Amino acid sequence: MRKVAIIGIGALKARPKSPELSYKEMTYQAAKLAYQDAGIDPQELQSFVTLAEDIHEGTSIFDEYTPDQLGSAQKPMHTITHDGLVGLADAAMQIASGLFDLVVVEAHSKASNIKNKADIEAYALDPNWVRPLGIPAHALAALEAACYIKESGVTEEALAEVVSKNKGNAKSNHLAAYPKSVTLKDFRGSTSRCSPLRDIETAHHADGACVIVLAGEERAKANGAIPVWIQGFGWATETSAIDSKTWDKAVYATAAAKKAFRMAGIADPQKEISLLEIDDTYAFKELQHLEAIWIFERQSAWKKTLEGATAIKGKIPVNASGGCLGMGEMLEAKGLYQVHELVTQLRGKAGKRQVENAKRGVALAWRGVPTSSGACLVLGRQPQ
Amino acid sequence: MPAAITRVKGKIPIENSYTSGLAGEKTLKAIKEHGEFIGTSCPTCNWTYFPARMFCERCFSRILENDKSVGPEGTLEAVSLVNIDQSGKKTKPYYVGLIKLDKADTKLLHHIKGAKGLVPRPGARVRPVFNSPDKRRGSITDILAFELV
Repeated sequence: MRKVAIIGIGALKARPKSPELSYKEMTYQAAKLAYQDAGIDPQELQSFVTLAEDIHEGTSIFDEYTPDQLGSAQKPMHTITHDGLVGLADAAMQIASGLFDLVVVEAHSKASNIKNKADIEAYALDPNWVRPLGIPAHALAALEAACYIKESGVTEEALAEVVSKNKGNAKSNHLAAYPKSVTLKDFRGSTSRCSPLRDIETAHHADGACVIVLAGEERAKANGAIPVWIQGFGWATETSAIDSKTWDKAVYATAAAKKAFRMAGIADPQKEISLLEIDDTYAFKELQHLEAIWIFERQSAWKKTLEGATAIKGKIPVNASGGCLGMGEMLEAKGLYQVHELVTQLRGKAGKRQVENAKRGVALAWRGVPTSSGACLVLGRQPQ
Repeated sequence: MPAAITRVKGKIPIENSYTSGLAGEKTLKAIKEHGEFIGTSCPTCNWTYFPARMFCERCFSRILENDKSVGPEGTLEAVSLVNIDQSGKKTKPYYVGLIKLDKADTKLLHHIKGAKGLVPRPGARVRPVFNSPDKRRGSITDILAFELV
């Protein structure tokens, strides 16, 4: 299999609202940044992948609306309704197979244009058995939190620490929408729409766009810029049914990471990974995901977090970017913003939030409620 | 200064029918006509689904004919106190919970009725409250809620 590298990244600052720019203009701007970063002429690009969901865009057959803003008119292009990490795996396979040399992945969020987010989330609930109950999708996340709290013994202090760490990390990330200093008092004082989830531990949506350029080995080496190598990837869905899914553990994350780690040759995840960008749409998810992918033993992620292990200067930094809590919940672009951070870190260009000696980074994305779907990506300074 | 022209508003109604399927119909009929819970069971995986399914998602065998009566009582596995409706608007608080019905391996999401002075907690035993037979229409909402036993 041919080796594949990321040679260019471009992202817009995440913002709660972006009233002056259309999604096409946002994507165009992110693409310009990525192509400039890669040092390539858009004419050279060969294939394109967009991640988008019709109902988030407010347009059906949204895949028809994707080429021009990337410079891909008249070229191979397709859209996937999944997280950005799945698009990245798709692009990597297009290059690994020998089909193309230069492939672009794009995802964006124009969440501020969605006027009825809760209804859209409810539209994802099973129409026969769940939606008729009139229960909001957010309650499913709350029940999952309740199950994880029971399983892990996680304390309020530890959940507050996840929020405080991630929103705090966001303060040194110019791309983040929600940087903030958060105290335990703030956490305890936060309201709750669905117990036990407090509103402060739930990520807020943000608008943005992110574009990543991938290249085959020869092209990447000839490029001049420092390539960041794709070492492994995997994705998985446990089940679509909330009645048979596992509520206390992130089984999808385990399955996705197992494939990605095997491909990357990772035998001991605790020792062989320098930093992680992990889905933290809800604070408990960061802890649940870390246990699911063997970074910490079961029931211990919260203790390690309180000890500072996941801080930027800790043993294994998690969400140095600020995560979804600090950066913003970016719909299908969540995973690509994670990749943007990992590439920045592995290039040693993360400034104040730079993780020391960053050699290998892992991204883990979750598709959100009510799904049990996720994807995992391993990036490194070396091909493997 | 004239106001900025930044957007065009759009709205479109979306309506669907959702087929219950052979398995779904089996469960809904039993609820509507008898106030009973009928699921289906996979002998290979030793796993009982409620609502009923045509096939086992674990081993892919057809299980439509392996009816199994489950519940009607069950145990609460998780509870949430909810302050919003499905559209996210603030509403009078209500409880929802995950229920493991007796003899089923799956979990059912439904409304939980708190009794006076009793807060629903994980581990509590619950039983279904059905709508009166003349008002049942073959829906999961024919079960009004689960109440503490």
